[in-house]
Amino acid sequence: MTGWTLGLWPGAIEFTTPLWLLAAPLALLPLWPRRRHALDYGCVDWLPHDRLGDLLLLAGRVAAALAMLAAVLGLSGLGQPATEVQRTGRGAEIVIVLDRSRSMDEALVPKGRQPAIDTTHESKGKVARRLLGEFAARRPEDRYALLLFSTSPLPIVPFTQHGDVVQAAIEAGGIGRGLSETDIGRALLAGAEQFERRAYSGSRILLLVSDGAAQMDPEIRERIARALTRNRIAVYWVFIRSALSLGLDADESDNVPEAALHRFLQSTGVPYQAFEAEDPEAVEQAVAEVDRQQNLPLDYAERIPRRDLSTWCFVVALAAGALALAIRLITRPAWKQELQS
Amino acid sequence: MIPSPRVLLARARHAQVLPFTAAALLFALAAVLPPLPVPGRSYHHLIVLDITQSMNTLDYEIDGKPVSRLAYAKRSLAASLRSLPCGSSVGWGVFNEYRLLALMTPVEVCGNYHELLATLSNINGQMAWAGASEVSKGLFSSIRALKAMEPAPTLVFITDGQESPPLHPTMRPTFDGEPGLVKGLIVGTGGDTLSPIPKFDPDGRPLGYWKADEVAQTDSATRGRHGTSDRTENMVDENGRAITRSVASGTEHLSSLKAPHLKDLAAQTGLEYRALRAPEDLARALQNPAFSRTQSVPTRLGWIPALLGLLCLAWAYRPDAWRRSRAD
Repeated sequence: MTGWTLGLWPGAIEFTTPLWLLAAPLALLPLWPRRRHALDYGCVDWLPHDRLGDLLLLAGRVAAALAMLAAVLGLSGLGQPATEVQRTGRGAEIVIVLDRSRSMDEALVPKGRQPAIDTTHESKGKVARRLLGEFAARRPEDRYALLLFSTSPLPIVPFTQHGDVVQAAIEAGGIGRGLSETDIGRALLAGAEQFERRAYSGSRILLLVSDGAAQMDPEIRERIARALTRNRIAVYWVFIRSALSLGLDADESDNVPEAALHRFLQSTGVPYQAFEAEDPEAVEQAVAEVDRQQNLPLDYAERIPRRDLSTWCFVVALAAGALALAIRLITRPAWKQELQS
Repeated sequence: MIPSPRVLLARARHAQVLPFTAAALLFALAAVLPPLPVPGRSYHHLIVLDITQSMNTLDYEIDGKPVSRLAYAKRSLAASLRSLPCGSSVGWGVFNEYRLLALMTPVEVCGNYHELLATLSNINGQMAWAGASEVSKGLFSSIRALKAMEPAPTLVFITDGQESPPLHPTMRPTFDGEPGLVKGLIVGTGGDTLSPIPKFDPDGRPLGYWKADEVAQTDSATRGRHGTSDRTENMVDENGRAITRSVASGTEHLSSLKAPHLKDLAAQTGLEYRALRAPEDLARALQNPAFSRTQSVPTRLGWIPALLGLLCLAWAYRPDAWRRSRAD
């Protein structure tokens, strides 16, 4: 059975099982004119006309009808439908751009240690997913979108406030090995384009999570820089250092791709910061940084869950039913039987 | 004026008042009864869509217009999600090359319906990271991946069964797992007759159709070490016996639903097989009782006493005509 929603002033009402409403005419039964309250009594003239009694009987019937109607409404699952209310809070819209290349399967080796065939270290991908999961859990009011990338960018989740969906997409990154290549240029562009044609509401962040970079040609650099500036996006790079990587601050002459990307992002003019993931405080730092910088008013839709009113219907049914019963009890239902008993 | 409690009690039990007493008590029960845990069925699927190029073949129709297998499967899935009971969960994955790429682990369907649809609508052929379509290996590796998940969801693998490069008649990948350990369903898509496969560039621009000389027409064992040595050289299997060369069909650039192949895969892996003919097929197949998990769902049961209370009052006020005919 499907629900049925009525748009009524001041708010909509909804029935989850509207077929029960077909039982509503039953509530007319108590109001039906009938003769059964005429008492068998020899001489009616002896009795004065009992106004109070008549009124009580009528009230009892109305109460019974009301109780039946309330019960029917309760059965049909009366409620207020779930609605969304536009609110303005503080927060950010964050596009997570997550590296899904095979290199992310390697272990994260702490700085200064030699890479070895060593299974005691967590893989870089696992570290990245854990950090992201913590980040998203720490800032639940933000709106997230998620994009994987390898050979090509794979948009997974468009902007949503459903934390469990974001976590599920992050978690899915842990299933199976990574894909082959890393095309970070197209990924950055696709990440920036998530904000394209989107009303500006709240700070915009591109959170890049990657263990390396690739050289990008000037054309794609130009397009990325333009997309970032046009959409006013701040970039945060959670850099997961590969073993033997010279790091982000390597000399230009060393020709290190990640250092080149670092310099390029610094040169774009948008707010940019890199965090090194091997640092245990990287998440704290990133959250603190985002907290400090990126709390512009964010328009968001707060979902008001469906309010079920059937219990209240049953309470009304109880009150009206109890009233009908009370009236029944204080009036003599049938003269004859009472005399006999 | 008000009778004594003894009289009231006697009246409350009187045949004409009893329905009112019962109704009041039942309504009270309905109002206070908290939601009780009732065992309900739920489903937990990881739905994997084949996004290889053969899935672009236009051999389905929606509203009289030809649509691709992938589009039809997505449309059927969107409709099927609605019919899953709340508390069920669905996740997405895509198949390409020889492996599964999980996009989202299962999340609850009713609360996340729009999010699930948004991710589903993002799934398309441009997600593909390689050109191959080794369905058997993809299925086997998906089963392995799901086995590692805790708790393991049901695998729903939607594919047309088109292997590219084609498989050798005898030298085939074999399933080395335990059949039936991961439950699930292979959904076969595609028409019964061969149709041309549309060709797209990596950005999704159409490039006409695949031609016979653009796809591998023979399996890799038959092709041998093509180019590196004498073309007449025969490959041997692990026991040193020469592999019989298969005869190329010459139709690998065309595609149809490879139902026998998929049925064979289903039998090997202990999965069910169902061909996708109508969206309702999929909705029904996803709710196969064999896939369900029983879990306690807090359920409101207040409607039961409320209904009984309503019937009590209806009985108390039943029409005179009916009353008299029964009394007579």
